[in-house]
Amino acid sequence: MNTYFCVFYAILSLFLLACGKVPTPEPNQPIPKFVGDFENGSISGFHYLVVDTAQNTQIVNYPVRKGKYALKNTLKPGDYINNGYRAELAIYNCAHYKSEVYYGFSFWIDANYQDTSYNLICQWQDLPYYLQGEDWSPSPTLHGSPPPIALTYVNNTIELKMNDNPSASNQTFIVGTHLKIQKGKWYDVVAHIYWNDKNSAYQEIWINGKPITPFNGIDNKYYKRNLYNRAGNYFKFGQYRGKEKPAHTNSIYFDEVKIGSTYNEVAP
Amino acid sequence: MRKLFFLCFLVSNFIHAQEQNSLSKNTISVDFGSLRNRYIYPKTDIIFTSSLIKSSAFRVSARLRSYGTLYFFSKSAYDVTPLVEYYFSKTEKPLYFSAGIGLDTRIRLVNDSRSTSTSSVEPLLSLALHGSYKKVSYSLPFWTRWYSNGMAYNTLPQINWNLSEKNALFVRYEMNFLRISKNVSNEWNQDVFVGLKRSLN
Repeated sequence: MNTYFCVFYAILSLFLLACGKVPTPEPNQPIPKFVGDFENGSISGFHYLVVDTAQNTQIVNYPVRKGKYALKNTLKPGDYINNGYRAELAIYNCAHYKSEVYYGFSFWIDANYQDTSYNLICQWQDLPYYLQGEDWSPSPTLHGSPPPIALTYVNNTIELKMNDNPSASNQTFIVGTHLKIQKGKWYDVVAHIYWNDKNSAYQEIWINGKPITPFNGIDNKYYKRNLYNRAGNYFKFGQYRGKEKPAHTNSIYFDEVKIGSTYNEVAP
Repeated sequence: MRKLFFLCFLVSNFIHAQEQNSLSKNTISVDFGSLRNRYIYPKTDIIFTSSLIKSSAFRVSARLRSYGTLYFFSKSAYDVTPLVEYYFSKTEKPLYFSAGIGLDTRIRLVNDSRSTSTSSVEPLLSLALHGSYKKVSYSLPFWTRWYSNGMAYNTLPQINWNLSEKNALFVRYEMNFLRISKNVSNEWNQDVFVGLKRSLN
């Protein structure tokens, strides 16, 4: 009898072990550190969302924030790809559910930059909930919206924009006040983000060491959910104009793109 | 008086149920919808349910669910859920029960390096309440699914409005509770479906 019971128990255990995992992500999964400083003279390590890497993403030796090289990101009026006017580089696997992450990068708006309308220089874009059967292109498309968090360059200012409604395209809001910036100058961005689909999520962002998120009485963490689902987000930087066709060819330089677990690890 | 009224209610329903016993019919249903927690995402189901198998109280069913579409053909994901249920009544009554076992097969087709989904098969245990009253019939199944790192509990209440002897409109609400045992994490999600059920005999 005991033998039968053991065999049955062993088979049952093997069967249960052979099952898949619960289709919801485990919280606080580790995030690999990332350094994208272009010092190897290439954009290897990034995923591309550009029409032509040779024209949209050039490695240059002036201006550079650190080292010998930086990235010159150029968006031309005809650069339409993946449903938008964009020239972006992306890093995947860097914004998991219930993880706390630091992101850093430096940017320089070209002195000849002409457009005055909005341009997303970086964004943390949501993902379909793959574990629960979703993908990028449902048919019909029943939702589609701006990313949960983005840094927007508009008419010589930088704004931190968030979106709380994944079903609306016109409900973004500005966090804090916009920051006046100058063309032809390096700015260092550090973002400290805790990812969650609840309002215990926070974002705390500095530019040149000064916080741009509002002071909450204790620190500069702005508490607001930043995941539409638990699939997490991914990070993109460059230029994104959505459906609005750029009027001119514009360039922005980037350097010292980093992801880590402390401020000092990602600050240039 | 109340007890008498309730007894009459039970008897009349029992007679009504014997006249129109849906347990003796094969049915097929098609539904679509999905109102998820944060946004609407399309899903489609085709469900076949057999009549009670000859002289037994067993019934088999299979649900084919596609994701990301209202038109059934999906490039991203399907679920196949066969189920065998034992009915504790061979005729419809105001309240009766069933219990069953099945498999929940997740087929994930997305080819994207950002995706962490994988195809798999999990065992499923079902306990359900059923009933009917005049043109309305209802069911309240509870599903438990086992995974290698946790469990999921679902409730899938469904109300059918019988338009004719063969056709019924229905609304189904699905609430899922997912639980990871180690590194404890819970998630609730919900979906709503509307559909049409048709008897095949």
